[in-house]
Amino acid sequence: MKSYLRRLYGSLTVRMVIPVVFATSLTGAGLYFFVLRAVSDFADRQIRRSLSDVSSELYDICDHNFTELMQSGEMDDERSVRIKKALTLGAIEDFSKRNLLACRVYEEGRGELLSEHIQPALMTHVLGSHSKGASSSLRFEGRDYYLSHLDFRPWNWRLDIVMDTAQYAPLIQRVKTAYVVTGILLALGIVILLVILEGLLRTPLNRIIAAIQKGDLPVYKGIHELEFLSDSISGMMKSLEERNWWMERLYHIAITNRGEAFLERIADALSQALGLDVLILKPLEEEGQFQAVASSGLEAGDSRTPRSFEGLPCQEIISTKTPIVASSGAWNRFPSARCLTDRKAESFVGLPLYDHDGNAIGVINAFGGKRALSEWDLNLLRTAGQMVAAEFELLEKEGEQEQYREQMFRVQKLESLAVLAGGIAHDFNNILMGIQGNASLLQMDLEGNPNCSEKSKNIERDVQRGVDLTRHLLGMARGGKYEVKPTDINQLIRNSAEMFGRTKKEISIRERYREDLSPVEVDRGQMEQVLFNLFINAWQAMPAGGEIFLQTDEVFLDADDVRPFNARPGRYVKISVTDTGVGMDEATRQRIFDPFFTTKEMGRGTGLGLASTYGIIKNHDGIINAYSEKGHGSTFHIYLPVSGKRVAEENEALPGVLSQGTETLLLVDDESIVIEVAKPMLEKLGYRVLTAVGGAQAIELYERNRDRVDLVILDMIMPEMGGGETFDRLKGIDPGVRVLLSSGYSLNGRAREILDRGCAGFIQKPFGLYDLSKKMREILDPKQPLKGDGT
Amino acid sequence: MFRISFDPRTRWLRPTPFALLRACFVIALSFGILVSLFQAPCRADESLRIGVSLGLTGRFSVMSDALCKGFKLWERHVNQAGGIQGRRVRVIFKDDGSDPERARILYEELISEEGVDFLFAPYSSLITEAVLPIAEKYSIPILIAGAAADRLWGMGLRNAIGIYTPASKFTVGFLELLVLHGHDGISMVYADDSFSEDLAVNSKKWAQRFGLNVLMFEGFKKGTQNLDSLALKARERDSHVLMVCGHMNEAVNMSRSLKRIQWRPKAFYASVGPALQAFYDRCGADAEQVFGTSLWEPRANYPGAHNFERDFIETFQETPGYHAGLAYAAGQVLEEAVKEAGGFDREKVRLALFRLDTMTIIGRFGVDATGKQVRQHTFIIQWQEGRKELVWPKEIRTAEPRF
Repeated sequence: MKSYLRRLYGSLTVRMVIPVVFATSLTGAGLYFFVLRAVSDFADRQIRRSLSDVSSELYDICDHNFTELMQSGEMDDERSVRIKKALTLGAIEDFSKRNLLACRVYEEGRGELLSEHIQPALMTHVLGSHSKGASSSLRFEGRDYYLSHLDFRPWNWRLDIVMDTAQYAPLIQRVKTAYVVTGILLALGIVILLVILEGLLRTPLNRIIAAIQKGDLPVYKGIHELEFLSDSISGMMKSLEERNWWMERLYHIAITNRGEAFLERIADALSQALGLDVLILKPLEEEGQFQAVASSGLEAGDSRTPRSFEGLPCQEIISTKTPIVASSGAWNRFPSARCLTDRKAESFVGLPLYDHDGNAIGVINAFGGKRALSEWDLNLLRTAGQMVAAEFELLEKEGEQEQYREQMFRVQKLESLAVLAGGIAHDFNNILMGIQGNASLLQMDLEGNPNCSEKSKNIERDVQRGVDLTRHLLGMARGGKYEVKPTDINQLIRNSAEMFGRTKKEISIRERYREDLSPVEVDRGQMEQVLFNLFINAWQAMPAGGEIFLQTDEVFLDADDVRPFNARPGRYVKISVTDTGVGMDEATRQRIFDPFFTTKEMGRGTGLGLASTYGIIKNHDGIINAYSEKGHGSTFHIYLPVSGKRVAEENEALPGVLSQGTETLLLVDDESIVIEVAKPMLEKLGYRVLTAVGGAQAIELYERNRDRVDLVILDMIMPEMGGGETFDRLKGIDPGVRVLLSSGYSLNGRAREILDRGCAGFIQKPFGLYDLSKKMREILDPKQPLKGDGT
Repeated sequence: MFRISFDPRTRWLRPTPFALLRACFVIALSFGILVSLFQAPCRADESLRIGVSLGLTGRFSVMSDALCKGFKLWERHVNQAGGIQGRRVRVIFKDDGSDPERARILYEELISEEGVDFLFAPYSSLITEAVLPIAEKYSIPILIAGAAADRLWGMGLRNAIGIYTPASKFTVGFLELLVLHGHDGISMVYADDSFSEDLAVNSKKWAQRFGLNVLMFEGFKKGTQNLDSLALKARERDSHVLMVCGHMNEAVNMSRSLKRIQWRPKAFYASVGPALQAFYDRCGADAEQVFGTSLWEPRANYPGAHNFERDFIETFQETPGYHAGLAYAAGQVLEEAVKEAGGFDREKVRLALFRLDTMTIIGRFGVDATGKQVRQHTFIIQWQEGRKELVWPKEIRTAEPRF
């Protein structure tokens, strides 16, 4: 109801009619009371004047008759006087009737002679009015009366004349009637007005509105003003339609195109819509330098050269974030802009493109012939500019994501290679184990034969090179840490740098370490290997000598920082190794951590240096990345998680003495070559050796010989029943069993788990006689501290 | 030649020339019919039609006949003179048998069927009072030449125009004669019709003004043949003057009653009747010295009166009474009013009638705001030796009154 009333009140008809009706009613009412009052006053004055006149005329009647009587000479004739008086009364009566008067004639001595139309009750008032003068007025029974009295002395007559307002009632009634008629006419006028409004205004307007509501162009012919309105709306709708068309086109371009195609099509669309050439520029890192990303109306090759858009006020637009609009004289205003001067462009618009943070990230330029640029033109440019800016942002984001994907791919690839490398190293270590063992046995057998001993040592040296190679492979493999200790990385770097610096005099090393650096938990040997790899890499990049900058710092990496590297956010110690060498191109940089990738000539590098570096850092839950530009050197950043532990002291190395024994050992290994080599080695040292080629056989043997077996040397990786399960079974048989775990893999997660379950130690294949004897004595001799797990 | 093409799909959009002509004809015909419907009723001629109903039969036949003849003579005279503003005049007569109800019906017919332009009133105040509302209803001016009751102008009507002096003034001349000749002691009897009652009431009022004594004032039923008892009462009151307010029959009946009771007051006055020859014819010697009021006498010498008398006698082979003169005068007044109004518009003619101040064969015409005649004067006649003598006003009297 309320909304209906509001709608009704808001309608054109009511809005127009109510003021008209109100004004008309007000005027009518005012006029009514004013005129009625005027008429009443007029009637009052008229009645009084009329009463005065009739009084005079009545007197004249009396006077005339009296005069006639006098002139007839019959004044003394009583009959003539009677007749004359009677006729005079008749004349008075006629006069009174003719003039709608009430009249009374009273003669002293004879009493009332005539009383026409005076009610008895009124008569009392009439008689009482004599004291009020010749004329007076009174209100009696709701009607107004005007009284007058006069004396006609010759006959001692007193005449009372009473006039009421009845004779003016028709006049007042006519006024009222006129007003009723006027009211009706006004009402009719309003109705006609409504009809006219309906016909001439509302209906045409409704037609126009109906067409607009249907989305059609209003077509109205008739009233000039409405025709103008209709044409104007039609024109605006056409314009709006055209603008919508362009907006839809921009939208279509946006959803169907990406990247360069999108930008080119946007530029084309703008060029068509505005009739101007369009050039979209993106700033380069160097201030004042721009890159053309799209253009339209310009020669494709030419428009992309920086020279063509030099002189455009793009830097001004970017820095002030203010558009520049020139409707005429653009080429005069920017004379150094070749793209303007070549075509003598009169108009120019340069709009900044903003990213989400409001930073100007590009400029959209439109220029060409003289053209009045409307607000819509600028809005279209702004809209397109926003779309272009969004595309810029999207492309940038997608680039970052692509980098992330590539990084992830690289990480996964390296991890796969690490697994492969680990497997190879394991198998290779077993082979080396055989060679190493046999070489050791041979050397023991050939003691005293210098020629053979020398050859045997050569074999051991070559085996050691193989061991180094597998060390790289195992370093690259995930999980390959040997002895992890809280370490002062500054000291480690300092020692490694000093050692390296002594050998490479042409290299100048500059160090800047953060003094309050937190410890990191690292395998110090592996970390030294990492540093040497980087130093060597730097040295090789500076054949003519140069500088290496070493720097440490402590930083916090958040989730965004660590996401591409699959690391945990937190505090890290940052190690930067920078050289002033030849640098790398991007393609090289992308592959430097790939195993066997090398830029050196065949035979000079294994391609495993940086790969193992990468693997070692990853094994330490760290991050390594490289930044390099061709001709500008390289920088490697290593991030290692900060440790809350205190720095552990370095243990002294034991002297190289073979420790012999007489205990009984159970040697368990699925590789026959290991059994075949290790058994005689152990026996040479005085031990009694039982052998088993698998977990199941080891369990069986141990059950039968548990009282005799002092130590079990257990291979970790075996088919069917692995080292872990075998260890558990052995523990099940004898909780006090002593087991030395051996593996071709480094001390990784699985080996550590077994150690944690009570395994006495770990030895990595290939092991020499010395290492083996030392490890066994550490376990078998309870006075010596256990070694191997580093914990 | 038109080539008329007919395409069913566009027949309503593209009218053929023939269809256009046909449409024009239909529109013109419709317009003609509409115009004719809103016009006044069709007339056989362009004459000015004036309707009147008279009691040509019945109790008012004598006076009605006189009125009828007066209207006819005026009709002839005015048409001989070229009509009124070029239009011939036609008076349409109806006979109401002296019955008010019949008269009412007839006036409705005159208006709705005959389409009369104006009306003359019937004879007698009784019947006139009955028909005046009809004229008022249709706003048609009606000229009253056969009724004089004052109450007719107290009905608040706008279209009733009196041609002659109302009843209230009928007896003024006679009462003046009484004063002049020193007679007093009046008995007034009156019939119970409106005219007679008004006449009696006003006569009594005037008598008092003149200082005369009214000894008896008594009414009787209209149509009463024997008025002996009233006559006896008057005699018993020792009345010197007997005034009978009524029409012809009342005058004749009282005359006969006086004869029967063998009493003759010093003055015997009857309002209507003595002015007519028929009274004398019916009463014979008993009509002697009877006073009466006449509304027109040829000897008054008003303009046209002699021509009227002459033509009347020539036409109807009889001497005209005042009723005929009144009817003739009514025609004259209407003629003048139309001229004054400048046309036949009823409202304009009505207003002209109220403004009019003109002379007719019965004297001066002029009405007050109610339409009552105020400018025409009466005459007092007395039968003396078989002659109707004009005894008042003094200036034009033909004989001294006899008491």
